Amino acid sequence: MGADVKDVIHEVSSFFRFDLRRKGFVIEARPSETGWEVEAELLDPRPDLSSSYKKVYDQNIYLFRVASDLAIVSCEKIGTRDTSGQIHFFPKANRLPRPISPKAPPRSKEPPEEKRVSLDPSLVGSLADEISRRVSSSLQRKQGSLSEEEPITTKEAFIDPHQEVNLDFNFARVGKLEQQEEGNLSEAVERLKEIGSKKD
Amino acid sequence: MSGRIGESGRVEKGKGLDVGTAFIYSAARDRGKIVYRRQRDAFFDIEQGDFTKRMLEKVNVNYIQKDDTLFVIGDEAIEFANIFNKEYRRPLARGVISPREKEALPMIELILQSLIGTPRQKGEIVYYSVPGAPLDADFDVVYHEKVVKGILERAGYTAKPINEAMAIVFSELGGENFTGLAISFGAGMVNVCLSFMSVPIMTFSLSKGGDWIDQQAATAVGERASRVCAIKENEFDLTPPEQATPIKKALSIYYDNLIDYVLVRIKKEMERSEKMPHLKKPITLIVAGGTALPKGFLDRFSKQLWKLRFPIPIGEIRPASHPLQSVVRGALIAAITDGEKEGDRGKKAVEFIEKAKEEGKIPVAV
Repeated sequence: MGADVKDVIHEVSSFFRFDLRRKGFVIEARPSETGWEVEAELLDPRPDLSSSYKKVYDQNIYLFRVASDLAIVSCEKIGTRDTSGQIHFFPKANRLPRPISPKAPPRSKEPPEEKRVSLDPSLVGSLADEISRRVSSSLQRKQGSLSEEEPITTKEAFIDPHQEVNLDFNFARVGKLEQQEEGNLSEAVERLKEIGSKKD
Repeated sequence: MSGRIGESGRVEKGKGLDVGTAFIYSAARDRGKIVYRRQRDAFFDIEQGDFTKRMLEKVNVNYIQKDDTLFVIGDEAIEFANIFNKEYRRPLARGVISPREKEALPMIELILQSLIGTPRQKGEIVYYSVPGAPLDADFDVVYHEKVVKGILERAGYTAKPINEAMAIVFSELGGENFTGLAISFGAGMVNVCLSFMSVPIMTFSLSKGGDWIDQQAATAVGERASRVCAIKENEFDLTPPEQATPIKKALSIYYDNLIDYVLVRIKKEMERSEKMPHLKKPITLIVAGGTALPKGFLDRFSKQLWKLRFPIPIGEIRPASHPLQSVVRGALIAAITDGEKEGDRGKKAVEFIEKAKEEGKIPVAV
């Protein structure tokens, strides 16, 4: 029997909250050949090093592939929301799926009966508080603008289990400054390159 | 974006980072000089209050506020600990991010990023030090390595790990073709690397270091470890045969104990290893790290070394030319070499294409 859309959304939202340590919400869940595909909008933190060192958050769209037994098979960053609120999807060629488990769980022999299920906002409301109801605006995609998208390098950084906290601090750069003459630094670099090229 | 050009005409890209238990160092080249930044790895928490914040700002003490707590960071954390007669906290223990200090991770991220600064070009290479696998403790360094990598990559760097003792080889053994034995006596652990022609033959760490000496000596004389540490760092000397105070006597005993422990483990590992090179000439041994700084350390180390028969011949034993910065300096050398190699490869590719065009092997677009 195919899994219930509610369970799929619950599984994915638990995954990004607890495994990826991201805040966000599910945009859409739809059955696929192998199980389910779920699109979610997550907040990705990055430090704003230009001025304050405080964190800023990018709103990115992820595609989660979920097996019939509700195991998360992969997660892939597929687009981003710009400051005006528009979602831009990356060209497919540049997407790199990020496998979640070394081996995908066994597929269900019976394909799910549902053809395509759009997310009913009333279902979202019954899930955790963090999952927002911003469904309708996210579903308004602009399909024709793919060729104008900037190519995106989708290098995934390691996501460590750090807490998202607000920190206040009174410094721009830490550390006591010391300076030394270069000495034989360049010599060491040249020697290392030389040894490296002999090895090659 | 491109890297800046220094006086030497070279693009000055690449940075080094030494994430140590007691100190974090960053290093970068700037106009023919190596610029180091040093930050002590220590927190001291005090209750938040407007007056306290104003007072800290007035005396230029760096702090981080998290909820209702102010964390004084850096050297001042130790001063505060001594004034309030309490222990300060360490975000790193035994060379790695302390599992007991997980709540401090956002603060570690903030400190690391504000120490190393922004990349000078997109994806600038930074090599960061990681300890070797510990021989005598049941923990691994993978979590630490990945967390630091994540922090640096989120700041826009291309982050690559380098073994701490291997970095010392890069910094100190250029004249010996990067062949020799490097030992880093750190606060959290001792790191060892035997390198042959820049290839690490044997790397490992031992989970005793300066902190262990402080704790053992403190327990022996009924003092706080932070006070023992302050004495060790500021006035301790291993030269006198008789030490003047109980704390110094205890420090001297545990120094002997640590040196003996390290040398015996190195000898055993060399005897056990099947990869030992057959060396005709004696190799140089480099001693680095903050725990090896007290006067007389090298004498004691050498005397105990000569008592043991090592399976490979040891020639000169010398302190690192930059005992505290040699790890970060080696990491910087690795980063610059890596960057220049990539640059050279790019240059060779362009030359190859130009030559092929001239020879008519590649059609030239008109």
